[in-house]
Amino acid sequence: MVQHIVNGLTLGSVYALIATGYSLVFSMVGMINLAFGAVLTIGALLALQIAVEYGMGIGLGLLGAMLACGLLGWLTDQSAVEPLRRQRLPMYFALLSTFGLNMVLQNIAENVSLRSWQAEFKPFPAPFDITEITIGSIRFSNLDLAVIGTVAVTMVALHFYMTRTWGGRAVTMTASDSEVAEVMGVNTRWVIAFIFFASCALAALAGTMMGIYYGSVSSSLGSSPGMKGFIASLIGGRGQIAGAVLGALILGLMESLAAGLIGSGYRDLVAFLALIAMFLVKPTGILGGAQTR
Amino acid sequence: MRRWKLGIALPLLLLIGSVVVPFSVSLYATRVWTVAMMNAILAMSLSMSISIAGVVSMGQAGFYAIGAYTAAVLSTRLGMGAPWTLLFGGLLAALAGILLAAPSLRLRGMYFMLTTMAFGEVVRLVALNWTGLTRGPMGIAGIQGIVIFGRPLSVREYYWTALLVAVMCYYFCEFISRSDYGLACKAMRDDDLAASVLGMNVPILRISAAALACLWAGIVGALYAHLYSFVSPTPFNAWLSLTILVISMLGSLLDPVFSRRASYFGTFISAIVLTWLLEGLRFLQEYRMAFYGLFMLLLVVFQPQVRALARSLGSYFSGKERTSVAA
Repeated sequence: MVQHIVNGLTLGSVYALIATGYSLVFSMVGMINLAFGAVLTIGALLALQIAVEYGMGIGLGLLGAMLACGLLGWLTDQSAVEPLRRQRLPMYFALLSTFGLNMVLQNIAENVSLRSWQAEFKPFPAPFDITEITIGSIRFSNLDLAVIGTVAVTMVALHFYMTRTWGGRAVTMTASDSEVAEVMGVNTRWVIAFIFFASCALAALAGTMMGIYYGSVSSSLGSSPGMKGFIASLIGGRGQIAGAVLGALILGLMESLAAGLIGSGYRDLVAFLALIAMFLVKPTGILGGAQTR
Repeated sequence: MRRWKLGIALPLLLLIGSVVVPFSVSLYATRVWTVAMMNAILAMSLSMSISIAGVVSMGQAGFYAIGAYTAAVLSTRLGMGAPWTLLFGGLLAALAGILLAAPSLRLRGMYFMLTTMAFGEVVRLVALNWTGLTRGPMGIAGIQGIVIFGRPLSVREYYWTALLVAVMCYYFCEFISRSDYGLACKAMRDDDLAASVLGMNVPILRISAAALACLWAGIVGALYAHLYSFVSPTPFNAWLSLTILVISMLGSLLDPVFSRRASYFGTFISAIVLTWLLEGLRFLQEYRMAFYGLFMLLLVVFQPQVRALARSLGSYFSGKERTSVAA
């Protein structure tokens, strides 16, 4: 039982990064970026390619993956979201357009990785030696600690950026009222493009950590966590970073408990049922305000 | 006058064309045409629930799967025949639609869409994990084909059956949209408060509109089970739901081309076009899905242009400027 909770925490903290990415975008344009899962995969594949195949080390691999995925995020905005915003179309059309983009990216990732590696899975060696730590009956490794630590540092940095810097305030302002922000001299188009960049860079970080954590990378790495991330962000409260983290931890715990106590086939089912239940009880999420139509 | 001609002649031409299609093409192509008909039914019923009630479902594959599995289980366990499996498949899917729509009445727009999408995934995952009933990833094999006059249907006859169901679905959708019920739904879609003041039962209207689309999805699902004699969870994924939604979206964009008395004709055509497009992209081999995704993206992004093109085509055919009706 306690063991499942420890596993759930690690899983939940990876989901927290992904959910934060969704939440950032949601707070800007009020929609879910369904191309996120494919970007996550591409991030992990690129990090592996740079770090291991080119032998440049995990630091450069991560940096390259985050930059490339950030650019993909910017591309997502420019190709699938910005045109809808410009034509003042309802934002739920973005669900369709980003899903289309997801198919394109996913398909390219599959084919390129299969062609260049000649294998579906590719091992991702950990950048340090893994040692098991046992306290009482609970076992975890320093890898768990590294994952949780990286996520915690990233979230704290993000929080400081959002509340203490000029750029972060411009983001917050655009999220709460883009027209007022525009009047106050904020270039909201740049802000939104930047948020897409930042959220997809986070996706690359999450993807790389998952690759290291599971020890291997495949082109289907991102599809399920991509879904879980948006479920977590909607459960916690739409458009809020704190909500995203809360929702992700709850989802991670629920999944690992379900997998451990009922059966591993039910972990995905639990996530989707939790989303439906949340929508029926309180559509705005745990930390969300009153529902506005 | 010309509008009348187009409104009658085009469907008639298409109907004759569709009936004789299997005589001129290979068995493989007949199968694709059958799939096109099944997609048309799924998309037309979804179009109906979108256009009359504003109920957009991103989880039609889930209801499709419910119909298919119902037919599969009834056929293999109880030895039930075709008309009954279709009926029960449809009814069970409609029941599932009611069970989903009733609690989610409060949800609007994107939240409703995401709930239906999650529901579609739930159905697939249940089918994957409830091995006692569905045999999980192995699927249910050995479903009997449809037998009429003591003889199983051939590939061509399956196509005609699907065509018949599609034509029935088409007239059903047209009839519902024009009926008092459809008008009441449209009033509710435009302003549910005003509609409820006028004495309409808004919850019932919303739930029933969703259930009607699910009913047809279930019927096609049962047809699918008999056609392939095998069901597994794999094909009923979110991708299929999105494909159906895109067909119905292209259909509504194409609508102004055709007579106003044929609101679902565009969806019918777009089902054929998109099904064949997906087949036609086979030469791209493993990059096929990328191009389909790209097409989807472009269609959504350029929809005002597509709509304008369809409008001008429509006014060209009908010979006069079409007064735009508030959709």
